[in-house]
Amino acid sequence: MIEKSDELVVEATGLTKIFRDFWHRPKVKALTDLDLTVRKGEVFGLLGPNGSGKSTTIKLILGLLHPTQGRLRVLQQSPRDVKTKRKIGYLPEESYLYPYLTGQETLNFYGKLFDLNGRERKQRIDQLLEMIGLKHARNRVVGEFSKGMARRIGLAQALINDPELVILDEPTSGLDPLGTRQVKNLIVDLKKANKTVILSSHLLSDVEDVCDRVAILYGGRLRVTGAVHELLEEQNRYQVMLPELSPDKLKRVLELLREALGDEPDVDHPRVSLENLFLDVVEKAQTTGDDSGVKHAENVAEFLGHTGEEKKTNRLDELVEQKSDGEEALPAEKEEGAPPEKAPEVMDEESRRAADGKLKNFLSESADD
Amino acid sequence: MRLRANQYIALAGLTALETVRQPICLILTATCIVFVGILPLVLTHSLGEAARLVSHSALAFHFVGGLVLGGYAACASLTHEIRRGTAAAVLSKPVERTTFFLSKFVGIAIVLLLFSTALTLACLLSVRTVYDPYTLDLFAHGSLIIAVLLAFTVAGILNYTLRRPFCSNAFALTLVFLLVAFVAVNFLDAQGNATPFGSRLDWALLPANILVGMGILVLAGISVGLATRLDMVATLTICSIIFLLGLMSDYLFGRAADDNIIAFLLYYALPNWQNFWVIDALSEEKSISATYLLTVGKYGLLYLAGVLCLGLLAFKKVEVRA
Repeated sequence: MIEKSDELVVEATGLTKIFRDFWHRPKVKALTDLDLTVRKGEVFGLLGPNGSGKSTTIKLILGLLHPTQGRLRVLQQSPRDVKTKRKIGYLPEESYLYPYLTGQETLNFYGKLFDLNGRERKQRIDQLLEMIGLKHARNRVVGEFSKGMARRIGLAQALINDPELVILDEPTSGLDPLGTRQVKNLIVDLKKANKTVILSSHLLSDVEDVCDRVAILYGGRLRVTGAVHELLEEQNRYQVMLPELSPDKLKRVLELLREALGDEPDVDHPRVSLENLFLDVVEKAQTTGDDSGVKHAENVAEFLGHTGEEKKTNRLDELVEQKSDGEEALPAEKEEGAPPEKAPEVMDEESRRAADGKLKNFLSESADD
Repeated sequence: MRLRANQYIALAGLTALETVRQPICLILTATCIVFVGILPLVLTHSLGEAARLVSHSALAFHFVGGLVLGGYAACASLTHEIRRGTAAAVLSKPVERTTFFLSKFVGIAIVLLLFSTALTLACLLSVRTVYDPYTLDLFAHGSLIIAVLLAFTVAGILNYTLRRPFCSNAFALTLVFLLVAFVAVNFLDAQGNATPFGSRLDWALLPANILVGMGILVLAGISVGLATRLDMVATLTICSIIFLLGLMSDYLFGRAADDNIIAFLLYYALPNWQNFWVIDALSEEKSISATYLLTVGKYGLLYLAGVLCLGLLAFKKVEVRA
């Protein structure tokens, strides 16, 4: 875990944005008195329904809009300062690419805007195209790309300058589950490289998986902000996971619980997530050798300060790796004693470990009984 | 400084590339060239006035085609980019708004200069076709049409075999083949005999076309300025109104400029296209001097600078919401 610095990357105080009509009359109050801080090296999630002010906040941070009131500092500078923008990478939400340029020309163009020399540009473009799995489509015009492919190119252009602050607006929109996993892994890798990520997404599971802190906006006002694990953890309730038990043993456990609680506990079978079901299907399909338009790759571009050689922690990672290595490869064998298939452990490893400990103690006690 | 220069080059190059890759640019250019090329065939019974009619019509195609192309390119490069979000993506990089705006104009100006060059060559070849009213110069006429057809064919083959973009290749090849045809044909007379280069050309049309080219650039400057705030229909409508009022400026406002303050203001605020439209002088067989070219060039440049400054002021305050 990277130590968080107290250095503030984004500092907004009393930020208000009012959009005006043609006659300069107030039309929409998009943001009201927003106080927000984003610390260096953290992944910060901006959540909220449509029209809640997420995109306005992002555009204010990028200096594309001017605040009506309040103070905003980005990387200790004004967001409109060009020097600030040298350190920022931005993936916009909508189609924002030049449709008549090829993938390679698009990245080359954005590289030129950062004054990267020809050699460095070429090197970074190659690494980024490899990373996003579009090396084979480098000469196709972006207008012909699927939404997912365009999203990947957008992601690559956001990273071409090796930014300190990465702002991703709906980064997984239009991506298949493997692509989504790849983007989430990338965000985690960016965090490991001590980069700050601001993530705006409607897909709450994505935010939950990768974000350290979140802010929830509604009607242009900040409603809740804080660390994800603190916000999601219900301190006064417990969840106990049991292995397969014989009916007798289960009955005993339930009796014990009833006795201890004085109430009927909720008992149910855990369900496999749709994501895991999908991955099972893909895993089987991969052995047939069929392939889609995007080649999945797992290696993060070297210039981003990470080699992507960490051990893959879940089946999605294995699948992503397997698909990029070739269709013949089989899923990596699980380590002995490894936990059963589970959701990615990005956020709540500590609480999971604590829960495991509690469960083991409980089971050993019940066995003794 | 170096960063800004590189950004200017990158953005202007991209604007030019994006413009020529749009089908409308190719369609407009090819249509204008072909229409100018077939003018000698459709203008029959001209009673010895064929050369004058062809040159007038060719210059009109040049001017109006440039107006539409400049207006469209300005809207595609600014209005559409601001609304589509590409402008936001670029302006989120370390790019000054001044750099973005001016390089957009430079990119459009490059395309318009190429368009102007093609139309100038087409105009010269087309007028050469009717050099002798009783003989149709098939070398000049045929080469003009063949250059366009050949460019489309080669671009099509390149697109099929090498997946090269069709529109930009066809646009570039049209220019190249037109230039080659122009040079080759002008060493021949109407019967195919060798002749000194350009002996059958009406070279007075060259400065006339250059002046129309300058006018187009001024119009493009106005379009770019308007495109920062207005959509395509509004931009093209206003440009057309300015074009028409500017053409009639001497008649509508010039006569009353000494007595009426509004007429005075409009006369000097609107661009006077008559300065760029010298076809009447050519009809009277007057030559266009280099001094006149320079004077109109200075007028055009100052007007353009003023229009771009206003456009820049408008763009500086634009909030990129998309």
